[in-house]
Amino acid sequence: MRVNRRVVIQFTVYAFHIKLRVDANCLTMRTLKVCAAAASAMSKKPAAQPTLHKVIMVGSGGVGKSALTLQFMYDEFVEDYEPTKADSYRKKVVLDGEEVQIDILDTAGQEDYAAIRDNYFRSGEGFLCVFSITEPESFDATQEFREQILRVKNDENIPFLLVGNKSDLGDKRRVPLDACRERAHAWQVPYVETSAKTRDNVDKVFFDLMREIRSRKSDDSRAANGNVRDKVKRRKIKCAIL
Amino acid sequence: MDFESPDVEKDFPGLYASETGRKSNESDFSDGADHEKPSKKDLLGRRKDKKESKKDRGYAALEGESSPEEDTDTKSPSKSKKTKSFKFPSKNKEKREKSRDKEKTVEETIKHKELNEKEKKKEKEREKEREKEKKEKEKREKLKEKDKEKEEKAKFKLESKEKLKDDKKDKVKDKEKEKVKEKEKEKVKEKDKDKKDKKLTKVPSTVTSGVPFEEIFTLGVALPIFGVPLQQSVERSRCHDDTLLPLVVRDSIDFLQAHGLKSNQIYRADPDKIKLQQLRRLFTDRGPTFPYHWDVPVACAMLKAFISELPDSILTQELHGQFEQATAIAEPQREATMVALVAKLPACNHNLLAWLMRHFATVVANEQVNQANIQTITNFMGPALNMSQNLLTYLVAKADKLFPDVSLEKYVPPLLSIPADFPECGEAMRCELRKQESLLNQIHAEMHAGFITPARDQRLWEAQRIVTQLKRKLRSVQKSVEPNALPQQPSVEDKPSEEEPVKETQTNEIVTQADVETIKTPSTDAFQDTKESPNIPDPTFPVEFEDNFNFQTTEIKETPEEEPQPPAEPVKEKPKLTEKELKVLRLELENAEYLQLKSLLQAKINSEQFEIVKLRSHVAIKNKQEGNVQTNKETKESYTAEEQELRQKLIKENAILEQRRLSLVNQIFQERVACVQLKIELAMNEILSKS
Repeated sequence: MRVNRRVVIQFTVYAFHIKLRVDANCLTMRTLKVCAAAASAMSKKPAAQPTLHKVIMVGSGGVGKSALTLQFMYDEFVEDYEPTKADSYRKKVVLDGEEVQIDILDTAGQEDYAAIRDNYFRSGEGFLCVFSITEPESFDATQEFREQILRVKNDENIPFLLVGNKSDLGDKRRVPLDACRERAHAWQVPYVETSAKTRDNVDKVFFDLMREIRSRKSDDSRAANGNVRDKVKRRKIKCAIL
Repeated sequence: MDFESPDVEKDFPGLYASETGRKSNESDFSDGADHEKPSKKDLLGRRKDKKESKKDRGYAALEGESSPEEDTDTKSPSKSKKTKSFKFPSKNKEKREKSRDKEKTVEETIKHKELNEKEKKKEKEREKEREKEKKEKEKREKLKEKDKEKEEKAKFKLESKEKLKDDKKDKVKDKEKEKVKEKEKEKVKEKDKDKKDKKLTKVPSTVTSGVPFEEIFTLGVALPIFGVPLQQSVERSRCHDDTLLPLVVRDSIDFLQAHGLKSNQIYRADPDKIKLQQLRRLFTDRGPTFPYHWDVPVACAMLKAFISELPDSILTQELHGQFEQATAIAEPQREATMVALVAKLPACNHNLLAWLMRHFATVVANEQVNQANIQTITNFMGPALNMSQNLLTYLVAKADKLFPDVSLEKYVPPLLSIPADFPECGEAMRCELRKQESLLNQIHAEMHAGFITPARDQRLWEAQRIVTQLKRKLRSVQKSVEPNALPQQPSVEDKPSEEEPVKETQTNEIVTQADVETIKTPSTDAFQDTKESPNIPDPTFPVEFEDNFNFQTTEIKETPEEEPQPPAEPVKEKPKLTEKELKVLRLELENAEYLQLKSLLQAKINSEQFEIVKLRSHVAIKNKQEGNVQTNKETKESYTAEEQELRQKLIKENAILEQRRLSLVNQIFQERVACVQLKIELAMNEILSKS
């Protein structure tokens, strides 16, 4: 018992000290915490968790957004059509020797879910705008999707790929290749034709988009790290050339 | 400070925990990066807490110590209006500011005088006229300043009078809440809201620059949980398992059920006020709570506070009188009338009442240990619930008979990620899926209301990912089960399973329904029977009621054709099996469509409400700015005199436009209904063609 008492007394003293310290250093503690939070935010990403790229699939209903996603995620092709409301997937992939994570958000093509879609657009870092080469309406709709994305992101250079799906149905093709390329050129984005069924170019579109997102991010971080001047200079030079 | 107490050694975890608690307070939604760290620590803290659940007092003392400086940054406008500690300092500040102003003006006048004297000495002869002019100007300025001061004083007096009145009213309210006064109460609350808005405008000055929108305009402020109608409170902070209880109530009851039943503090002791406020803030900001935030008196006080701040009686205005009258009836009829009255309550109120009464019943059942009898509870909760002692006693005594379908289950929040050992059974998955969908809807609603932060974005994606994962798992489970079921309905089976989560049915219900889908033929009858027997308050009843209730609130205008269908359908369904199936299917599709529409509309309503609050605050700012400058009014008057014709024209045009707008809105509604019908047709055709 006595021993216990002593221990207790020691502890009370110890506790008192700590309390005092906590009280006295409260302000510094807080600043420290803020610093620590900032530091952890800076250091954590590369070390603990691989970088995360957020990709969003957009396009009219039935063009094969879910099919592309499922093919990329699980190497499977689902024949029967079932409209998506919204689905999200995460996968670890190796992008040019570096392990990264990709978050894919598969949105609804139907207008009914537009309200939900907007919430996702805001946090998307790159977009795959999908249409079916057998369906001119879906190709026309890409224009609207593009506008919508630009409106939400307010950024002309957002990583973006125009994807013509169902390339295995070449005989039923109703959107001429030239028109697709022309539109992609007008938007200054790459154009790729894929087939979710045969897995043709499926990996390519996702990886190309991730590369764009990555380079975009590194640009941004460079700008944020104080090399703003450099950037401005670069821009100035560019302007001069132009 | 109880340092001498031998418990102090065990206070370390408390210290630790209180620190983490502060951390979790500080890390608002905005910084998602250090979300993981505190949670781990908190887990540790929780474990230790569980070991020494009796030593909560020690923590309270510690937190009480560390809280003053915490208090300074927790002083958000979302604080309770009844706390005096908030009002007085603000008054004092105003006073101080005013006294400073006075000092300034005095100094100015002295300076002016000095200047005047000097000027007089220097330029007596030369510029007497100019001096006079200057003096006049200065006098005018002085007069103006004095006027301003007077105005301010008058305002201040008015405000303080109002506040006093409010205080008095509050006190009166607590003592005798009567229907007549409830109107006044509403007014008072509106005033309070306005005040809150005004206070809001003060906050940004300290926080603004570059901080995400939400921190200035917190969710808890724009969409409060306390002091709003129960339905709203449930919508804003719901338990995701369809109990239709606000999270505050559920957590409080859960805690008391777990830790309070054997404590003699229950419904008796006064809470630690700082702890109470901290907890309250966590709930209004939708933050997570941890065991060290809780103790028995705080949980009791939390429950009481929530209920007493509800603008409406928990028994609803219409039924309250009838409830009270029913207590006077002689016994055999009394129970019947009570059951009937309880059945009439809206789903939210019904569930809240049921949970409270069942909880009180368990408290009273433990009287020998906790020494709390019905008297203790009526003393503590009676004024908040606004019930007579007779009524409350009766409800508690008969809780199990009046609310046979409600059992107090501990709330398990939706998972943050799917663990590897997640059960493979469909029921657990469906259950979790519904929770996640509910969570997802709430996040969407919050975002539509304008609260967009990286943290919320992250949560949205996570919830969505879990939903997708669960759906996939469920599908694979169903595919493996499918051979047992009829081979006809693979597509039929898939769809309901996805749409069910949206429906707010209870867990048991869902299982039976799922069974209906898989086994189909024999059990459909049983399912219909439960639907058709509304007299017995069995599990399905309140749920059905709730759905209809929701429909009515949002879509009355557009559903007149559909509403009568549900009751009519089951009767027709008997002749042929296939028809029955089809109709069930059709109803399900309809239900899903309308629920979806409802959620969309709800989101819109939420965003509109938010807009209103925002604009109000803007107006408040503008008013303050323009309050001092009166010239505007004069100019306005002159305008109206000159341009009245134009004004009238504009008014006419506006009226016409408003009419057009209304007709367009009506058209949109009609077209939407038509769209829903067409969609259902399409889906039906598809299913038919597949099967």
